[in-house]
Amino acid sequence: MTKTIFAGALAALAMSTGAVAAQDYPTRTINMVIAYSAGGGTDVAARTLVPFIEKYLPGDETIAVINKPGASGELGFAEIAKATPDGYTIGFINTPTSITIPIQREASFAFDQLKPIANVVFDAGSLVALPNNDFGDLAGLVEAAKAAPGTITYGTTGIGSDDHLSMLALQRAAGIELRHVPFGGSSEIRAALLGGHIALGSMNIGEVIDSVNEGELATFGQMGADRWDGAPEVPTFQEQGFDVVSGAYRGIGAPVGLDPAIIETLSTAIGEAVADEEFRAAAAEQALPLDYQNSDDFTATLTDLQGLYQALWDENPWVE
Amino acid sequence: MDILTHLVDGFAAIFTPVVILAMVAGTVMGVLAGALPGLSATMGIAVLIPFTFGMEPLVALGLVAGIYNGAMYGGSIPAILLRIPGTPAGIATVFDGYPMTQQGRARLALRVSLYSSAFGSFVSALCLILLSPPLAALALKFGPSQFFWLAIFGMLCITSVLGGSLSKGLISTCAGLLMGLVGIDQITGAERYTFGSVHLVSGFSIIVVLTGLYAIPPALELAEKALRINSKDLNTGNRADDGFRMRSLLPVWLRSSVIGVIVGIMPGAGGNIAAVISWNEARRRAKEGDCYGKGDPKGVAAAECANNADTAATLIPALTLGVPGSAVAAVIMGVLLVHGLRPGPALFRDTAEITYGFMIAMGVTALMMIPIGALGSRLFINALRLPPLILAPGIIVLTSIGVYTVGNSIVEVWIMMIVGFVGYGMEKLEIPTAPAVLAIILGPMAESELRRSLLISGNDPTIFFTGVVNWIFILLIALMLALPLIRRRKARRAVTENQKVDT
Amino acid sequence: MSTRDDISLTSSRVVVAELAAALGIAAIFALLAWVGTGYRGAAAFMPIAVSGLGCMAALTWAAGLLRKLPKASVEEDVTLSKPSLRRLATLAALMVAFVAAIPHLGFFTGILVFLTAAPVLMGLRPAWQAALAAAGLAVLLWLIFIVLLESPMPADLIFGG
Repeated sequence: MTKTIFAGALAALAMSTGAVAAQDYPTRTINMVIAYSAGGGTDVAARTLVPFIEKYLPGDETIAVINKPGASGELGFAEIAKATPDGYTIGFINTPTSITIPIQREASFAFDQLKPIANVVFDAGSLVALPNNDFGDLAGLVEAAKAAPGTITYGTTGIGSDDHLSMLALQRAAGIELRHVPFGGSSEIRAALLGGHIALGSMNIGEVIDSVNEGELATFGQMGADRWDGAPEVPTFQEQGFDVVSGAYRGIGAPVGLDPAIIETLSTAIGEAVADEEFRAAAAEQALPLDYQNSDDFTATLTDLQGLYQALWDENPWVE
Repeated sequence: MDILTHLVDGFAAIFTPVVILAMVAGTVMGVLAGALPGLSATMGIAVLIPFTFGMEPLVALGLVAGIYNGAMYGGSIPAILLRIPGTPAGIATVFDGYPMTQQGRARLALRVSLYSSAFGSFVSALCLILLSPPLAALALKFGPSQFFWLAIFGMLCITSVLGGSLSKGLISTCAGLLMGLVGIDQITGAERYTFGSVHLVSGFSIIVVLTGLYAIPPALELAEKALRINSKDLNTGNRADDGFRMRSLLPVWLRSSVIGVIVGIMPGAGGNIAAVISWNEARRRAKEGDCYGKGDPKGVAAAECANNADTAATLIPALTLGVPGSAVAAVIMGVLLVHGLRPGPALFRDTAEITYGFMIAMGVTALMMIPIGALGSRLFINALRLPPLILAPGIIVLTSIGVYTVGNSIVEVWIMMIVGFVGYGMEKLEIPTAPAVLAIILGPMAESELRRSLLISGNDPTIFFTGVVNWIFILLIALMLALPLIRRRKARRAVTENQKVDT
Repeated sequence: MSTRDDISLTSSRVVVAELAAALGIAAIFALLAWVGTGYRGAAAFMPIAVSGLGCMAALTWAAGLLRKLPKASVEEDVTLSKPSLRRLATLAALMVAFVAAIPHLGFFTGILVFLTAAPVLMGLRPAWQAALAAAGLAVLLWLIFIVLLESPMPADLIFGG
């Protein structure tokens, strides 16, 4: 007798959980999946941000950071994409890999299985060389590249990295051909550049700005649509007449099918966290170019980017 | 005066309560791991790598420094008391240590071993601090072609750890090279040997492989042998040698330290070789009244000082060039990688505070050994009575949970276990594992630097033969290749001369 | 010298066993070389070269053993101890069972069971020593990973989470 009543009550409860869950969200610990190993750039940024999101989320629930490194991020992105869309599994979906992995290979997740919630960081691409280089500025570089196609070398952090894709975009926009030399990490590019082994280095503006200010490296510009506050002197590529907007987005996503009310809650909390003065100071220390976008804006940005990368790939696949 | 500021920063960074605690704990754990027959410094650090993952880098490295130095001393405890070297490097300590025990002078032997170990480790750490920065500054100028030759040179050095059989050594090297190939190729982005598994796309995690290879086989070995030690064998004797003057060992210490440091810097050779060379050298110089091999404290001093002087010195090529010269160095590189620190010249530039802190910690833990060894001697001796049948599954539990926490992946625990079984099989077939480990690290380096150089030069191979540094490496490699031939000719001449004498 | 607890092997049988291992390793290398031929361009060079070299090394080893075979004696000179083989097999089997059980039991329950069972099944007496060590280590690791480091772990049967 009591059992049936109980079961009935449970069923009624289950029907109403959707609305109730969204109202009360969050009621338990939220898992934040980081597709990179601990101590890396994204991990440090995420761990810096998490306490501030906790602060602005309703209730006292905590966020647990879970590192799921492997397969250039595929393992982590797949973990997010395949989770139950209840708001308790979110994670960083970095570009370009969260978009390019499914383009490049048979992957264990699809880009449209991820729902962008909010962007946190946009680190624009940049192109650097030694200060005494022969090119002068970007126009000079393009001229030199046209005079000797395929001989000027540039280093990146690997095939299909944002550094590589931004250079592909530049070569397409300027109609030039450069010689790609992939490296294992940005400190290796820097060493090869300083040792005079390669002519150009494609790195993010946040990574090079200190060296540029110290006069150790010279930059040809930044690839954001607007100048980043941290590098107000550096012109954008668009200002110099080359329509290249490229870089790496580091934002938060969730599995698709998440309740819009929960998306709103999360997106707002992240926005408040990014606006927090204390967080902005910590971010400046790590040279993180902040660029908050809410769910709709971020979704639009990533959808555009997906179209761009797909077009680049169809034209000239960068992996054999 | 960059180096001085870095040193000061390094000192400030390690003299915090947590790091000091880590160094003390590491030294205690190291002596224990070294003392237990079957366990070694490599194994102790390999088990620990995943645990250090949640720690601050310097806390982790302080622990590692303590374990490394402590284990080298710890190995002498069973060598002296039971004639069983606790680690391979303790082998030469048996020669004079055990006879001293038979004479009832075990306590003196342990004390000599302790001071000699501390002295050797400290000198070694000094050399690390003095030699690494200039070498790293030099390496900063290296380009892909220089790194290519360096990797080839490092791999040739592997041949010196091949042991008896060349073909078995080659099998191990090739197995390591193949494991290094698994995953996405850095230069073309193509997937190799992934067999469609997403878990293999980023290749084998070096940490998982190292833990499997160095922690699982000793555990299986413990279960297989199930060595039980009788408490009555752990007698330290009652002869007090208070008249013995440690200072009289100074000449032996200085010579042995130099031998240990030189052997340590050379890739391939390990602490056991340093100890044996040093002991032989001491015996060769024996004066009247010395009784090497029959319980001379100087023999214990020569062996223990040299195997400890090997410790920090092996890290010199690993930290500055990213080329590990031994299995322990490879494991310590694993610890650095867990914390996102890429061994190589950048270590001394971008994360100087941590690197210098670690080098200083190697020296500090060397000195810490003296009070820890003196106060804890009863504990360490009694630890020999730990039942191996509990120890063996205990090690497996620690490594499993540790590896799991690094990637939150049970697949990696499986990989570690399979690698461990394979490693045990290799040991039984007498295929050395060290070449495989070094090849996993150096193989991808050689391949990608080769192809990177050719990309830079536009497929012009002369890039490998321009510049002084390239030629120095080429000459060194030629020398490495010629050495066995020269040695063989010498041996043949010696044989013919002996025959002449015979006839 | 051999007792009932020992298995005696003739050295010729040891050589045959080694030969089988060498040929097996050669076959694995050959298979990997064949897989390597499927890779395109510069990416194929290393896989083929390395597995080819490994295969040759294994065959050289096998050839050396083959030469040794006629000389190997038929006398029983290698002894394996049965109890130690039994301990080894027990531990290996329990290790596999332990890892397989983790996703279902959780780490700490798994440790409790494995660390009690393994020493006892390998012959450790008294059994309470193993149980004590198991309980101690399980609680210690639980304190480190769950309380101190707050690591995410699979749900645990006894310790919860």
